[in-house]
Amino acid sequence: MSQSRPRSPQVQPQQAPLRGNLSKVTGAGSGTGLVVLAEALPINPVTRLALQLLAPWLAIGVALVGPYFSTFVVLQVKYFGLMHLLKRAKYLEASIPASAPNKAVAQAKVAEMETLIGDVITAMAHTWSGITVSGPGLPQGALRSGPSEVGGPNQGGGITPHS
Amino acid sequence: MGNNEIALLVLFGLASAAAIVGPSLRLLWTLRKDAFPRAVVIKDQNGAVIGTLSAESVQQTDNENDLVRLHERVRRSEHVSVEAA
Repeated sequence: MSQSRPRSPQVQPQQAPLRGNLSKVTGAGSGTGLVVLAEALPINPVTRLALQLLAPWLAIGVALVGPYFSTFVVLQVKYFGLMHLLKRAKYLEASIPASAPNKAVAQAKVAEMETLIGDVITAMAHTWSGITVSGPGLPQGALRSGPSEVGGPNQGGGITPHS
Repeated sequence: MGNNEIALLVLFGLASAAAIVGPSLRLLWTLRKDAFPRAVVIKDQNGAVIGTLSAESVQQTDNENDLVRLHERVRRSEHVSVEAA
C-alpha cells in the first residue's frame, strides 16, 4: 500500500512555513516596548498603569498573529514576483518583431504562462487556506479522498484529471 | 526618575526595538529575491522541484511543450510553493 503511494501518510505536507519562534520574540519585544513607552511618556498614572497591564496581552497577541501575518506577507510578495515575471515575459514577447518566425510561438507561450501562473497562484492560496482553515496537521490526501472538501478552492487539488 | 531607571528604560527599549526590527528584517531578507525574479522554481508539497518558469523562455522556440507539461504537473499538485531562482 505504501509502495503504491508516493508519500507515506506520516509525512506532513510542506506548506508555507509558520515562522513561530521569531514571532514570539517580536511579541515579547512589543510587550516590553509598551511597558517602556508607558514609563517614558508623560501621561497620567492611571493610563500608564493601564498600558502596562495591557502589555502581556499585546505580547501574546503579536505572538499569535505573527505567523499568519508573515505567511501573508510571503505570499503577497511572491504573488507580486509572479506578476512581475509575467509582465517581463509579455515585454520580451512584445519586443519580438511581428515578422519574426518565432512570434506565434512566443505568443502561445505567453498565453500558456498566464494561465499557468494563475494556477500556481490558486495552489499557493490553497496552501494559505490549508493553514487557516484546517491547520497544519492536515493528513495526507485528506483533501483528495475526503468525503467533503475541507475548505478553499479545489482548483489546486487533483480531484478531476485535467484533460 | 533616577539615572539608573532611565538607563534601564533605554536598555530595555533598545532590546525591544531590536526584537521587533530584527525578525521583520529577517523576513524581508528572505524575500529579497522573490519580489523581482527572472525565473521561479516551482516546488510541490514535499519540497520536490516541479519545474522552472523563466521569462526568457518565451524568446526560445525550442521546448515549447515544456510549459504545457509544467502546467500539467502544477494542476496535479495540491500545494505549490514558489521560489526565485
